[in-house]
Amino acid sequence: MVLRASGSTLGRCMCIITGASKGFGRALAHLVLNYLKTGSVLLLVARSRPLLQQLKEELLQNLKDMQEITIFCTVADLSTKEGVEDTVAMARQQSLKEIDHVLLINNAASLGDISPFENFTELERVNSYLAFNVSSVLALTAGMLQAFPPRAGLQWSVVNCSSMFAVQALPSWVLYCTAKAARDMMFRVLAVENPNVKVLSYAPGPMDTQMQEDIRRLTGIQYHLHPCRDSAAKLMRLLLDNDFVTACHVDFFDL
Amino acid sequence: MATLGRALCIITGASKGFGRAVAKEMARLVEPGSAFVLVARSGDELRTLQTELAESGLEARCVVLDLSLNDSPERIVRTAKEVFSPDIKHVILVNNAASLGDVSRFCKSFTSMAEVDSYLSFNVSSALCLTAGVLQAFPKQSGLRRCVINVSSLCALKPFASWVLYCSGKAARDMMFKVLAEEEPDLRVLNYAPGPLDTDMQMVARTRTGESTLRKAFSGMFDEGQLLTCEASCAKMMKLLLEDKYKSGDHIDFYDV
Repeated sequence: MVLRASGSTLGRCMCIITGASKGFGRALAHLVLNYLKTGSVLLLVARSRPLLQQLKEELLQNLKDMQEITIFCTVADLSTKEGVEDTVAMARQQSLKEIDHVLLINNAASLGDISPFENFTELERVNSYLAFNVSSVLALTAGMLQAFPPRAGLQWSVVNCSSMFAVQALPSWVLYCTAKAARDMMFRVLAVENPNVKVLSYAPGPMDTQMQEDIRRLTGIQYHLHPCRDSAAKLMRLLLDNDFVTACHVDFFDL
Repeated sequence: MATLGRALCIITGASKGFGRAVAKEMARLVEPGSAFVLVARSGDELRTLQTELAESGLEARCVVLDLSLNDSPERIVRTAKEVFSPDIKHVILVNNAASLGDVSRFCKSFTSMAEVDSYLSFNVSSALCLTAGVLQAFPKQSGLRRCVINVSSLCALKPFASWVLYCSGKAARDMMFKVLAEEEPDLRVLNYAPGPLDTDMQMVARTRTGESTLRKAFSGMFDEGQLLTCEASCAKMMKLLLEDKYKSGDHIDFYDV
């Protein structure tokens, strides 16, 4: 029998968040903290040691009385095999802890070049983009599944930070759309293979992040932006209620 | 009889299976003065095909290479430019070459980034870069029809257990070509899913698929004679191209036609 976290906590959770140093990942880290029971472990992954360190300090200060959470930072470039392996190794060190929920949030991503299709003639550039945005997500998720094999008494949740552009084609955004579409499908296969792993492709909507700033600078388009924490809150509610259909694609604007 | 006109046809994975059938069928539907660029890793089979096309009076060049190598797109485009002539009024690129990946295994075994990278390089990146190169080499111009075909699959739309690489790659490709269709309204872009074909790829599917129910379903299709011949599927694809009424960027399955 798989224990389900009650609607108000994530249980004693091993929570891994990639791209945790800024934007949506950082907002999630702050929010998730409120719902982790004592004994939980939070693993934050990003490339920037100083930003991760600062985040960790903020989180430690925000812990409630009696809330004992272990927070680790892994400085890793997930576009490399070493980065993925280091992250899995770090998580593995916690695999003997008594936890009842693994929550993996695949948030780290990049925009890629926003450019007309016919400019993408160089294999290396495209491969490099897909390595970070697609391959690393599969390799990391696989590594975590091996480190914490799903079993009775261990709830498993995986979030794929998706996008409206996983579903809707957007001119000049071929790299981003292609990678997001690949990820959505990848997680649908994961869900079919693992009925005891709940999979959610969550499209967070346009938020006040560096990525949106880059979009504005590169395309001149200014979307109406929502604060990261508002989108994070919607995701959190989905995870806590835990009644979403596995592998569905849910958009911020659907909720 | 409707024809594809005087055309330059570039076909990847042309040595066998669906790609070979496409080459032969297109050869019957193009007008004299057309040219073919046949791409695959296996030179012998390409040269046999080249000879057959020559017997119909068609020029065909063989480009023998591994599509996932960095200079491959460029080499193919260079050959295409060599056989092109101003009389050619139709450029058709068929992105057919593909691989299944290791279908004996499940998501949680794909811990090797190198394996996933290598798969995506061949099945996703190379199609993007080759298509981009061809579009640059043969830019939009009055009097020149341009058509890009992605050989897709039901797997682009539906997840199948133990098929994570193939499903992800096909989903990626469908989206890639949808973006292209949105960007270039004058370009004809077709995501064609050929149905379950009687090919070497199907043989791997029915003998190696890790998920046993799925494997049995594939071998059941083979045993019951439910697999399609490449020719039958190709005929439907040609019908779509000749009628030229499909909406650019759409995913069309053999069974939809």
